[in-house]
Amino acid sequence: MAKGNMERAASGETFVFRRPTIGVLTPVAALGAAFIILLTASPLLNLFVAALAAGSRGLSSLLSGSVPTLLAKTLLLATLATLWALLLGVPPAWILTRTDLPGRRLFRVLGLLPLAIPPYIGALTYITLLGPVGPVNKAYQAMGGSGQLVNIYGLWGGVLVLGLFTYPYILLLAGSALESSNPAMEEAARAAGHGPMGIFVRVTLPLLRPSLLAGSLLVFLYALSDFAAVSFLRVTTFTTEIYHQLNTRFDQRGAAALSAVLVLLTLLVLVAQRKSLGRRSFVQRRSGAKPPTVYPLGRWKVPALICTYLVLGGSVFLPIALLLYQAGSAATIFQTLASGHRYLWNSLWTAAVAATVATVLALFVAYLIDRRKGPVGLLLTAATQLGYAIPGTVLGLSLILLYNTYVPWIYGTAAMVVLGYLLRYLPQAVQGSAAALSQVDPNLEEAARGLGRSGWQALREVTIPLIRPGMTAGWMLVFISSIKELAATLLLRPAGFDTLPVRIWIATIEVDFAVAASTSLILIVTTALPLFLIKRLDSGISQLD
Amino acid sequence: MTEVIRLEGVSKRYGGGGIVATREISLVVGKGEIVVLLGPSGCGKTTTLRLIAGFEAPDGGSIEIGGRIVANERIFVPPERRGVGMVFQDYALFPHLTARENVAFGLHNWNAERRRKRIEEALDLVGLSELEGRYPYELSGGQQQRVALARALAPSPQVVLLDEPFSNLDADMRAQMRQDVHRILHQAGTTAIFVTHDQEEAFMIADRVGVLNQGRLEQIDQPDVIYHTPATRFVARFVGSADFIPGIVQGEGIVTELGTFPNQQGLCLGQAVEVMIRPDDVELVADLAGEATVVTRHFRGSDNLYCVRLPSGRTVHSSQGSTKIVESGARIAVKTDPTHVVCFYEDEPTQ
Repeated sequence: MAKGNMERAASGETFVFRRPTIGVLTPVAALGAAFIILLTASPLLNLFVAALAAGSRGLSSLLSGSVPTLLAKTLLLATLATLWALLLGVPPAWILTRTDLPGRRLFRVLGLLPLAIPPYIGALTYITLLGPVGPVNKAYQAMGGSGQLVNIYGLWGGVLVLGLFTYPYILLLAGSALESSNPAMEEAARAAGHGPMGIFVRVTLPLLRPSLLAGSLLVFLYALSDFAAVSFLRVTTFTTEIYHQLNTRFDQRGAAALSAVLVLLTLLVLVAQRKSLGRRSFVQRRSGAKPPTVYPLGRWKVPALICTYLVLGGSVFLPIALLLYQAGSAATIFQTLASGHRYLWNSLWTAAVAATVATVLALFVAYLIDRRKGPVGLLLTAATQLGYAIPGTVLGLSLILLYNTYVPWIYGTAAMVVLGYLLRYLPQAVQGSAAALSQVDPNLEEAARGLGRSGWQALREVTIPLIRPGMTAGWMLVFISSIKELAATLLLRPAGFDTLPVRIWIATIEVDFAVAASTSLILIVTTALPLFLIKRLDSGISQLD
Repeated sequence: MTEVIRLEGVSKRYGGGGIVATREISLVVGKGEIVVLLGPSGCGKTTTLRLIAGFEAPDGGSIEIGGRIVANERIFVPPERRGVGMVFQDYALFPHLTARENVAFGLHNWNAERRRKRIEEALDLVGLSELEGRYPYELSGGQQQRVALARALAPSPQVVLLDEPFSNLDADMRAQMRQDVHRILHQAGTTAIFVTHDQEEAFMIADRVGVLNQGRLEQIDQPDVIYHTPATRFVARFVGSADFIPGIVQGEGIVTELGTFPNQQGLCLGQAVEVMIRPDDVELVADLAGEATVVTRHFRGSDNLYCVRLPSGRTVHSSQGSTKIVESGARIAVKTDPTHVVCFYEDEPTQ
């Protein structure tokens, strides 16, 4: 693809950088870019304005009061959850890609399942198991113990649950890095006299560092932004405090000030993440490359199996078993579905509309970024990445502040919910399209132009068919994320507009665990289906190479 | 000869004008002619091709295709309306279409019957009728190359542009493809402009070769003319190897330490020049009293390349038969009798 250019650059000759001067219409592109930047950046800008409007008085009261403690607590939670997720994710990643563990293909699919279980559902199941009246504490008391053996509420509960339901990020990234690593490196270490253990510590692990860092930052960002799981587990973090300020104290400015601090914090992490990713070179697997070495487990087979089962058990089997137990019977689930089909429908259509709009915008953004390097592309990239930096609570708040003031007729309609999903998860769609587009040689469009197609025809007949798998994957990612979103939905929904997560939230508050559990099961099934479809698309894409 | 392509003073700059890709290139290509643009990396040859195809717009000058202006200061005809076929360096086959569908891609406005016939013709021409159902990734590099050529030829374009089409092929495959492409282009009677940095390739395929250097077209002529009478030192060096030895125009000829050569270019008396000497024009004669010394010998399979030091300390190269071995350090006499005597002025900067 870029081989010719690389050769030219490598030969040390004058390197003439070429970009097609013919492309999408510039005025249309500029207008579209301006619209997207306005759409994505305005809520956040407005939030900062509102936070500043709280004035020095508000700010100083915040700083002297709860903010430093809140900051410390939130950071501690995120750090511990990340370490826990690393501990849970790295060993299975290695075992499932580099050993002859029986059934490792099935395990790798199952290992993704926790992504279909939102952490707040995970929190629910662990509250059932380890709560004050849960079977563990009851058994302890029955055996003569006094008080509680374990207390699920608080920091440690939060760490336990967040780690258990975010480790797949690490499993996925480390797993794919391990899979595509060049066996020659390990063979070189072997030739230099290192055993399997030495190779792992001195070669494999250092090579994994970029993907581990990327995975850790994802988990860290998730922990910072999580609202529902930590509220169920009664951990006070920025997000719960913002919600509290807004919903019980009706203090929009205080909430805005807190949100501003949280956004700055996430932006900081995000910048660190971009830097760590930016330095990573894109290693493309060549078709002729040898697959990585697979180590026979021998007598370690049983410990490896136990390790894998423990991780999967804690994050998949146990929660689902508990949910089934809580739901009671299949009849309860069907009853919930029948009486609550409205909520399922609300979830489905809002998520589908958000995913579709996001995919269309993402195609435009990705195309512009890929084919037109320059300040507009950079600005657009930054603007569409903002969603990553905005936790659902903050996004909800900033959209309320902005739209309530300037476009009140949208406020209070379901369109607000869709807009919230769109802004929060647009980055995933952009990434899907951009990654697919970067694999498409710009020459292909030129070839189509040379064969009598206009720019738009070339896009429609050549580029879009080629990036369709990436676009579809992006659509499904946005769909899954949107359908699980609770915090933003809670703040943005019109009165009485309930989605599945909102029902779970309400049922939990009303201590109706049977309904919460059966709604959770319905939600898990709805998200698991597209998740497996993505996985299949992925393998389809790698077959295309 | 009907003109198909005419470039007049075509210039192109990149990076806000800082990098000059082509400088006032003028070029005329006749119908059925194969012109090869030859030059090192970054000389502007690919840019010239992209300007003709319409993937770039020139900053100055005009481009005509088939007597119609397609680009000047006011006009810019987009690539899809230029009737130009292009074969890319990496083939740029559409990976989601079969070989047949790739070939059919440029025939979307043809009626079904004509299209079917044309596809068969194009596939036949490149000898790939058997493999029409395959996807690009199921084809070898050479086969992909043929599909790309068939796709470019199918709409019967006025001119086919080929951008280093063989650079991604193995050496033996490349030799085969050169012959095939040459045959296919001639058989189709197509006008073609071909870009390469490989002079052997250029000589094999071209009716005329244009040598580019730093965006400038230094010379365009038949391959043998380019080789024997290069217009500039750059061309002399880039097309084959050459040594330059100083001489002075005296009486009937040019006097150098290798003897007196005829003054074929009609240079003025007393003019100081440098004469181009090609290794194949230099003969080594075993002579113990010879004034020259063999410095090195490189065996190159089909010949031996000797580096010989002259009494002045200057060195020249000589190509000798594969079996003619003279040891390093041997005394030897140097004879040279070039058919074409090419001189350059001494003060002309060497590049």
